[in-house]
Amino acid sequence: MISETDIVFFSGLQAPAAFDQCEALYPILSAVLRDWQMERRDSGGDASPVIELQKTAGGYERRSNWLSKPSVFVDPVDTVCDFIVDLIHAYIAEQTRHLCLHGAAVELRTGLMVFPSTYRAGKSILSLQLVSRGARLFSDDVLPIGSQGNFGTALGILPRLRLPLPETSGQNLRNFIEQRIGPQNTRYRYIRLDENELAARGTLAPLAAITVLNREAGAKPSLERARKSDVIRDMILRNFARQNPAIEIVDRLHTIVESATCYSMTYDTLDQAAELLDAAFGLAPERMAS
Amino acid sequence: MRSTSGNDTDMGTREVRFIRNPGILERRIDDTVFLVDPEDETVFHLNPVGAGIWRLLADPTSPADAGRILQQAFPEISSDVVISDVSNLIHRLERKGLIRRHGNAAPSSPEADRLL
Repeated sequence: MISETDIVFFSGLQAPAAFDQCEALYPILSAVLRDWQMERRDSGGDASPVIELQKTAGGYERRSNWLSKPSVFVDPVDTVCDFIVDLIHAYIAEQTRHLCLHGAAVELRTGLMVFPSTYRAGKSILSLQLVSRGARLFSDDVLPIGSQGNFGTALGILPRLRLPLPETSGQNLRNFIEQRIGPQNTRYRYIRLDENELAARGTLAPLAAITVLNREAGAKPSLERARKSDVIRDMILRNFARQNPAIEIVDRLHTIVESATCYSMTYDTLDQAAELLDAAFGLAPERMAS
Repeated sequence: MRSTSGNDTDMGTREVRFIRNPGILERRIDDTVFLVDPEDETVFHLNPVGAGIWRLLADPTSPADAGRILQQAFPEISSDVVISDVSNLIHRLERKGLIRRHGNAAPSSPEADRLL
């Protein structure tokens, strides 16, 4: 139970967060940050909070090292969702020389498949479609890539879907989601996945492929090789770990795309996409040691 | 190569020679080029045609000279359009600090284009 004002350390991060009258958020945080420990202390010691969250008359007001002005949300689920963005910033700030990509990552039979974030391409719902068919989710929105080799790191955070579900979601997927409802509001729903479905925090897996998604109504489904330079260009725009020099980011991404195979996938329905990927790569991964 | 041009440039600058800014870092990937300005950490991406012009700018080159070379690759496009497009690209590269005028030629008015 978090008391009125608390200094909270998350899973070994050096810098804490400060919560003021945010008791109602604790169960949501605990559920969404499935694999994260939250340690409450009386003080931060030498570490100043990098995120401050306070309940006010106007809602939950957040200040952080990454906000130019306070951010306020009324809804608790929205508040937690936005807080997690800063928590990941704090995590990345302490992981020197990591890249951090916006995108989903799913562990398939051949290795980690990354879907760079593309507006309304459906990476989150597609990833859950693949999980419902035997794949394991590595990340829903953010994938840290370590400085040694091309390994993605699972963060152990529940995936989040936008509501309502797309009309192209089949009944099997809807049933799968309905059996795993986590914290939600009218706009978003977190999906409770177990360790067979969502890799535990800290799990490493090599990047095997990168697929840029293009969802298009009525389109003929296709999976084609993509130019590495196009994929790098897209990924640069989606890398938000800026502590590394830009030229190192370009070089790192070049190394990643050289070792992974790059694709562009066009699809209309989730079943089409899943069948394409299953045929090309196989969905159920062999479990690798962390 | 675009067959229509945007804003045209001063005809008098087409013979002014430009050269790469030596501080700019480059990486060639496929047939494109990524350029990095280490001073402000911005990244630029040139498509294959832009990459070809960047290659020419390793030595002092005017928009007219670059246009004449490029015309050989695009003979179906009128020379005015080719040179105009090349001039526009070169002046954009200059505004972004990726290239500079060679010799004593006066710089164009500084426009702080929003960088990538």
